[in-house]
Amino acid sequence: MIVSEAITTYGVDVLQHLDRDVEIPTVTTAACQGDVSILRVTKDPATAVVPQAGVAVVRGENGGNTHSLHGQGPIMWEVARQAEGSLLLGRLTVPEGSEAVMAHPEHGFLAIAPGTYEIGRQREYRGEWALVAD
Amino acid sequence: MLNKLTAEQEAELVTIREEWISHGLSCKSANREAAAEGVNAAYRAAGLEPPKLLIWLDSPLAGAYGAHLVSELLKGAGRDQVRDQVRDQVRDQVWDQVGAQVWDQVWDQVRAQVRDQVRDQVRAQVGAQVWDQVRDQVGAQVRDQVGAQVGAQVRDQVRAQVNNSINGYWGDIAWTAFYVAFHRLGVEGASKIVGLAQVAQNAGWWFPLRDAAILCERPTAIHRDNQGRLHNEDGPAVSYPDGWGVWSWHGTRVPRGLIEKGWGLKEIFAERNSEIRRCAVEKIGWDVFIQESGLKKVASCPDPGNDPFHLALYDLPEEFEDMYDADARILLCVNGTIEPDGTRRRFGLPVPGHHTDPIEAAADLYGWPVEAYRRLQVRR
Repeated sequence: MIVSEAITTYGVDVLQHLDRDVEIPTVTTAACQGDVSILRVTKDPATAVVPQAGVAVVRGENGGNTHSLHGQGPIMWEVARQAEGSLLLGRLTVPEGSEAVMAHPEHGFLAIAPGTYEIGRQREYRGEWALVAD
Repeated sequence: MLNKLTAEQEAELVTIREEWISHGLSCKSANREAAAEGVNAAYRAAGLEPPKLLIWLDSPLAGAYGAHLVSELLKGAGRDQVRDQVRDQVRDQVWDQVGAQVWDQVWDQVRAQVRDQVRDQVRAQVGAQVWDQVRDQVGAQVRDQVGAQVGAQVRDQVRAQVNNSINGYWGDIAWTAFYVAFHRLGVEGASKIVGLAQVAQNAGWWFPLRDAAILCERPTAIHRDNQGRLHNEDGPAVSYPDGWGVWSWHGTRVPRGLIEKGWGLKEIFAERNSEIRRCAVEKIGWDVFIQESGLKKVASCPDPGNDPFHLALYDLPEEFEDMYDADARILLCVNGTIEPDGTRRRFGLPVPGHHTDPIEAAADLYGWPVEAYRRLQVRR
């Protein structure tokens, strides 16, 4: 799938200067989209089905810096329990026959192949760890 | 005795919390009539006569000065005397000599009688678990969203400029919301809170004095980052109708010039406060700072998934050793996405100082095993 197709398929527009004719890269093991990480794990799959409109995994203050997950075919997302110092946002499962994308207006799209992944945030070390302010 | 909340009541807590966060962050101009009614009710709840005089001012700073002037005026001195005194003393002495006691006492009375009475009566009627739940869900969250961020910084800024203790009421909005929640849950003694709540819903800071109250307009704008901290890259993070404001970089209060003019290396190295220095560096960007100040490179290597770009690890300059509470280095990274002008944004992130391998440092930033980051397929 190319970027312009993803924009119409998933309803997320990206910044004007991003090339619309390039193929979206596909993640099978590990990737990063800005301050959000995607890592394949061997853990129990998530079970809650993501609604057709997708789900925001990180929400920007004005909706501008939102990382969202969308599926072609059913995909599952389970929000991690918030714990002090934990970077984990949640667990994503893409069943065989489905494909997921992570979308972001400034970073574009990443396609995610079938499997179970942990989605997490980035931190920085200010004498102690703190979340990165994007 | 209220010992357990129903599902409806729990849902109501969420509503109350959201309402009060939005009151606390409101930038609408004050509803003066409604606020005045609230002031009268608050005084009555404290067993005081409602104030004869209500004065509206445009910022907490104006309010703080106004409160001092009015409390002086109300001390009973003759008018000329007061004017002379004000004229003579304003610059040098007034602010630490004037009897702040007068209004402090009134304030203490309003607060103590309302707060303590409400607390005692509410506590008597509410079980400890419900108390804790309401505190966590309403009080703590309103405080984190509003009090800690906006309230505290505005208060600090007023303090810095007036050089006195300021007892303006607003930073306590979390406390008000907390008792409003009990009031809405039907706890009897909590109804005393309604006056204070009505002021907080309709005005900004306010200063109760004997026979008078100073009320302030709300901010005209509040800017925050995606973590809710006060932040504006090119103007005040909180601004008021009279032009007064607070300048803040990701939650750290900084001098206005740092935000609006930007600091050069000379100003950065001259700054003694390490927090402010860090903000100034972040504002110009670690990439620019590293280049201009000639930081020592520890190591660099290709960034997996981000070909042909590199990750590079730098030592902080000696003068900056106290910048963080623990030994740190700076990892200079390159964004995975192109900018409108065709370049890639470069940014520095602090990492623990023990790192010598940029890949290990980068993995640490995501809490990943090093091997996972080495196999990173793509960065966008």
